[in-house]
Amino acid sequence: MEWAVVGDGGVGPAGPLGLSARRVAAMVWGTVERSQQTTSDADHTKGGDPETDLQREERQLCAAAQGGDRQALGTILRRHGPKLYRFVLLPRLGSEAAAQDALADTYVRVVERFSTFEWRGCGVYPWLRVVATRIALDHLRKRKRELLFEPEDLERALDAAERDSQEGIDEALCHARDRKDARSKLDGALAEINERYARAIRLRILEDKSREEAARVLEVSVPTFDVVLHRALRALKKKLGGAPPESEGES
Amino acid sequence: MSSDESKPTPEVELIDAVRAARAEGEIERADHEALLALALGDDVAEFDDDERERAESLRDALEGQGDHPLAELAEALRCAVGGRVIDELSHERVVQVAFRRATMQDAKVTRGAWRLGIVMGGVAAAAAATLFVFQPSAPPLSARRTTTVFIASHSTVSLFDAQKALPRFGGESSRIDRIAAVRDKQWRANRFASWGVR
Repeated sequence: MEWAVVGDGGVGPAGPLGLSARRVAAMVWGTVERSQQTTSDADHTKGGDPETDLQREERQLCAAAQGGDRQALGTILRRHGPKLYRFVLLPRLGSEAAAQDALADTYVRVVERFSTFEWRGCGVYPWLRVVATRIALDHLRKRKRELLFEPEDLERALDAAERDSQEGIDEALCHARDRKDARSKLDGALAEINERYARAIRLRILEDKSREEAARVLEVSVPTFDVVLHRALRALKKKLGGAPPESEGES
Repeated sequence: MSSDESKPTPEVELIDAVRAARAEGEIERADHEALLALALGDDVAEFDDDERERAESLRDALEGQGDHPLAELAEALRCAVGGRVIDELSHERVVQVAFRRATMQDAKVTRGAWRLGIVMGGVAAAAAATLFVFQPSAPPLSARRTTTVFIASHSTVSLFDAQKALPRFGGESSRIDRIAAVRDKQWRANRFASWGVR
């Protein structure tokens, strides 16, 4: 199916690249060739950096998807979905199964709401990140087990993601912020427990060292390291508001 | 979280100190063992068979054998560190599932509107047929000066612009209102026709 983006002449909020956000307002279906696009690249820039090929392609994909082209929407999801999984969903939901469920829900929401998306020059990722964060928050509220992140953390993250989306923050900065958010939450939790316990967790869980290696660093025997790690995780769970240690084995 | 934010104020520290002085609670065994381990080293810290068993069970769970409640927390910590990616096959499955679910939701809305249209059409047709069959006072057909033409039961497709796709969201109520209004009008028209007053 051939398509073309027609300019509406509107001037939307300009992102960091100085791109007009409302240039992709209307979509026509028909037999117009791509080469007949009525808007030139220069029309999409307003004194800032020129639009890159990737951004131009993404803008066109977004316009097509908003016109109902599911293949275009599929391309967008295949491009950005793995990043949503890695930086937004998995760190906050804490399990691969939960993150995949949330990713599926994110996609359904995106399919439903893509017509409301407004191009802001910085790409579609910041908008997708807001949707994914909102879904993660919904999932976290339904969960009963204790995890690193609380719904309140995600409410704050959602506010920040919405602000980033409004301000046209680019994708790399979004990733950096999500990474920093997860890291500081993790460091904050580990700072709450005994330093030696935190070290055991870092070695075995976060750095994925072998039991033998971790035991050597802590200068204990391997069976003792198992007990130390068990105590360390139990202490962390307690600090995170989990079940009392006595019921841990049976819960 | 900045270190300034997490640092308790002197007032909070004082309140904690007063509470601690009044409290009669005991230190939890695990906390006590942790303090001993810090002071004396882990190898001399006391642990019983039960704790050793639990630690072994956790060890197995972390290595993918069996379950342990703390393994879930360990997994959450690993996920928070990041760096893990979704494999292409799993991602493709998620994309397909999402599109199928979205399509099913669209179809549900459309089916609902069609079902209602069909039901209303059936009601109108049944009403028209009833009036046609059971009208004791109706004059014989031969006596009528003009041939009565009833509006037949028909699909609702003609009520909407075939060139224009139905919007994906919204407009269901107005479409159903339109179907109901047209059916009502046609039913009345048929009734008046059967009475010979159209």
